[in-house]
Amino acid sequence: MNDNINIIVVGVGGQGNVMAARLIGDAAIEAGYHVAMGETHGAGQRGGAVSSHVRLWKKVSCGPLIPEADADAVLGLEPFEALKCATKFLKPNGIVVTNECPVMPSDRNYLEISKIFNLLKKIPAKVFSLDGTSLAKEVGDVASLNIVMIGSAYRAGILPVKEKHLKNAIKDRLSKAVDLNFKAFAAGKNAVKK
Amino acid sequence: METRISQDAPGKRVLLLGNEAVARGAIEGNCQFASSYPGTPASEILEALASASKDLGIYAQWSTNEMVAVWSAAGATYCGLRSLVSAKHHGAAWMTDPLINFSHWQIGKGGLVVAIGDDPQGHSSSNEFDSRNLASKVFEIPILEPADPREAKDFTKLGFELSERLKSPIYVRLTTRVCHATMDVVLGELPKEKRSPDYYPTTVELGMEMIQKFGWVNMAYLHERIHKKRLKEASEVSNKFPGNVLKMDGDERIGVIASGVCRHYVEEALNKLGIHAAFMQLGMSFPLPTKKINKLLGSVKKVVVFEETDPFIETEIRSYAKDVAPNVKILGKINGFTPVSGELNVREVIKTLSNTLGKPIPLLPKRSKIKKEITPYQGIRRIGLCPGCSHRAAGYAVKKATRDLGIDYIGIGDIGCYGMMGLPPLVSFMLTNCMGGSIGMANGMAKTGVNKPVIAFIGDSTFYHAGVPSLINATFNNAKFITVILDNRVTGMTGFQPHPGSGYTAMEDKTKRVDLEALVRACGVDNVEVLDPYNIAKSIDGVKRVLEGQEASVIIFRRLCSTEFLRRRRKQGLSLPRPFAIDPSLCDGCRTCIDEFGCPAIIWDDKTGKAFIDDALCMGCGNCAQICPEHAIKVVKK
Repeated sequence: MNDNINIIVVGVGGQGNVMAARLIGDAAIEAGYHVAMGETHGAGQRGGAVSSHVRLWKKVSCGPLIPEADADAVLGLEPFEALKCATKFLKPNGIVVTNECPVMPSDRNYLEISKIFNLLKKIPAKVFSLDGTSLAKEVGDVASLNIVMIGSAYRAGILPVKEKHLKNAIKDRLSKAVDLNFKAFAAGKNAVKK
Repeated sequence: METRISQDAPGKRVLLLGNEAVARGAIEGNCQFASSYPGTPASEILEALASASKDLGIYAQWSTNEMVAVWSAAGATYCGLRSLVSAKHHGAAWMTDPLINFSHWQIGKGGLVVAIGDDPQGHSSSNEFDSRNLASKVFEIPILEPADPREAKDFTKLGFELSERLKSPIYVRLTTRVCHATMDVVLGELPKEKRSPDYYPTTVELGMEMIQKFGWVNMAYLHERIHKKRLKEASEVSNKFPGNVLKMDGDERIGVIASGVCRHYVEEALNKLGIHAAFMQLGMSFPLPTKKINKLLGSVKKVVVFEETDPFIETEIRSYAKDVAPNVKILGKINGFTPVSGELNVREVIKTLSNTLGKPIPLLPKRSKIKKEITPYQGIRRIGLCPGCSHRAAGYAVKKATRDLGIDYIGIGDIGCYGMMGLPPLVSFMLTNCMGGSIGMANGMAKTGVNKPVIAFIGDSTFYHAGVPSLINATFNNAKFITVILDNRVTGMTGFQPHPGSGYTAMEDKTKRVDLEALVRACGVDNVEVLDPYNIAKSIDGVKRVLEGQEASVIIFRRLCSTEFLRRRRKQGLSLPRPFAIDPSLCDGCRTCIDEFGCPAIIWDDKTGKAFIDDALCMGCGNCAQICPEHAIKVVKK
C-alpha cells in the first residue's frame, strides 16, 4: 500500500509557494524521505493561482500530482486559494494551515473572509489560521510570508520533519537572508496555538 | 562556481526539477555542447547547463531559433562532441527538416540527444500536439520516455551511448509533468575525460559506399538503411532497455501499458484499486520491445494503454498485436476507453480501469454545497500583462492613435507575453498563429486588397526567431502593412532569456547586439519609427505618423521588460521606483485607467466609486498618470 504523505502549498503567483515547497522537499530528504513534487498553475502567469504538490514516501514511490481528495494537508498562503484547493484535494478531516490575509483581484470580486473559514470547516477540515502577511511585514519583508507559513505548518504538525531540517534548507537555499528568514519561521511557529 | 547541477558528489540525493535532471544526465553523459530556444516547459534544461557551463567547461547557447539550435548541436557532433538540443514541442516542429536529414545522413561521431518537452493540455502552448508522431514517423529515430526526473537523468545519459551505437539522434520525449516535476535524484559520477574537437565527415563513408554500389547517392537506400538497420538494432536495444519493464505476478486479470508520467498514475491507481495487472512500463516506446510485448499479449485477454497525448503507443500495439495476438482486445483512445485529449491523472486511470473490469468507481467526497459557494469566484484571478508592462503602454498608444484617426485595422498577434494584448481592455488583435505568424499572415492579407490597414504585432525575440524572412517577403512582394515590434530586450514569457538583441549570451558572456533598426532596414523597410512606450503622448503621435503614411513601416516600441527591470534592480541591490497613488479628491470615477488601460495594480472600489492603487503591486512606471484625464495619479512622496 502507499505510505506517502501528501501536502499542497497553494497561493498566488509571486507569494513564493514554489520556494516553500522546495524547502519542505529539501528538509524531507534530510529527514530520510523520498520526494516527488509537481506544480499546477491557473490561467495567470503572475498573480494567478499556483499550487505545489509535495509528496513524501519511504517505500512506495508515487508521481508528482496528488489525486483528488487525497491530500493530508493544505498550506495556504492565500485564504480563498486554500479553500478552493482544499475543496478539491483535502482528505476528509485533513488539516488546513492558512494565511488570513487575501490577495484581492482588481475588481474586488472576492468571497467574504468569514465565509471562507466557515466553508473550510465544512469540508470537514481542522483549520489553523494566522495573519501571515502582517507577521512577514513585522519581520521586515513581506516576501518572507512563505517562511512564516512554513513555521506555522511546522507547529501545526503537518510537516514530518524536524525544525533543524527546515532551518538547514533555509540556510542552503536562502543564504542571503538567513537571519530574517529564521525570524519569519519563528514568527509563524509562535502564531499557531496547538 | 559549483552549482546544484554541476556538483561532484556521486551518491548524494538532491532535489532536481525534471529539466535540471536532463541537464545533469547530459553532464554525466559527457555532453559538451548544448543549444536551445526558450519554450515552456523545456527552458530550464539549457538554463541549468548554461549555469554549470563555466564550472564544467562545457558550452551552452540560446540559439536564434530551434532550427539553428539543432544544426548547431549536430555541427558539434561532426567535431566529435556529444551534444544536446532541447526545446518545447513547437520547437521540434521547427527542427523537422534538419532532423529528417540528420536521420537519413547520419550525425557526426558525437552522440546527439534531442530533448523535447511536449505540453499535454497545452498549459503554456497554443496546442498540445504529440511530437512522438514526428520522431517516429518523420524523423524515424528511437524515442525514450522518462516517467520522472530520476529517469530523465538516467535516460538522457543513456541516450548519448545509444546515439553513438545506433548512429542516430535519440529523441527524449518529456512532458510538462516530467519537465516540471521535482524529485530527489541520486547524483552519478562526473565524466573523467573530455573529448577534444576533431572534424570527421561521417557522411563521406556513406557517400562512398553508395557511389561504389550505385554510382551515385541513393536516397531510397538511405531510407532503407533506417528501417533495415537502425530500427532493427533499436528494436533489440528496446528489448533490453532498463526502462522497459514488464511486471507480472501470475494472478493478473488485465494487461496495462503506460509510458512517461502515466506510469506513475497507473501504479498508484492499481494500488488504490487493489488490482493485479500485467504491467508494461515503456521507457523506450519506439521501437517497441516486441519480445516483452509478446509475453504481455500472451498472458491476458485485454490490454489498456495509458499515454499522453495521442494514441501513439496504442496504434503501434494494435498493428503489432493484429499479427501476433489477434484475439487480445486493445483498449485506449481509439475506442474511447481513455480520454482522447488533455493530461491524464490518477482519477482518470481509476475510472478507466474500474469500467474495464466492471467494478464500481470509488466515490469522492461530494462537497457540492461548498463548490456551489465558490464557483462564482473561480475565475477571479485573470490572466494579464504585469504591472508596468511596456506592451500595455504600446497597446494603449496604438488603440488611442487608431481611434483618434477613426481607423479600423486588422490586428494580428504573435507568440509571447504580448499575446495578452489581444485580451480586454486593449484588444490589439484577434488572431494569432505560431512563432512569426503575425508578419507571415500580414503578407497575405495585405495582398488581398482588403479595405483595412493590417498591423502585425511581434515581440523582439520572436522577430529574430521567425519574423525576418516574412518581413523580407513583404518587401520582395510589395506587401504594404505595418509591423509593430515590441522590443522589451529579453525573451520575457519564458523567463527573460537573452536573444540576439540583448547583448549577452546564455553563459552571460558579452556579445554584439544584432541592431534591430539596421536589421529592419536591411529587410527593405525604409520607414522605421522607434518609440519609448513609457512616453505615451509621443508614442501616440508616432503611431499616427505611421498610420497617415502610405508606406510599409515598422514601429519599434523599446523598453526593458518591467519584471526583468525589477529583477535586475533587486539583484544589484538598487532602490526600486516609488509607487504611484490616486488622489481621491481628484478622481472623478471615469474608469479610464480600469476600462482602457487595465493595469492589475489599479483596483476599482465600488463603495467609493473611485479607483485606487495597490502599492505592493505598483512598480512605479507612471504610465497611468499619463493617461488619467483628471491628472489624479501622482507618485507617492517619501
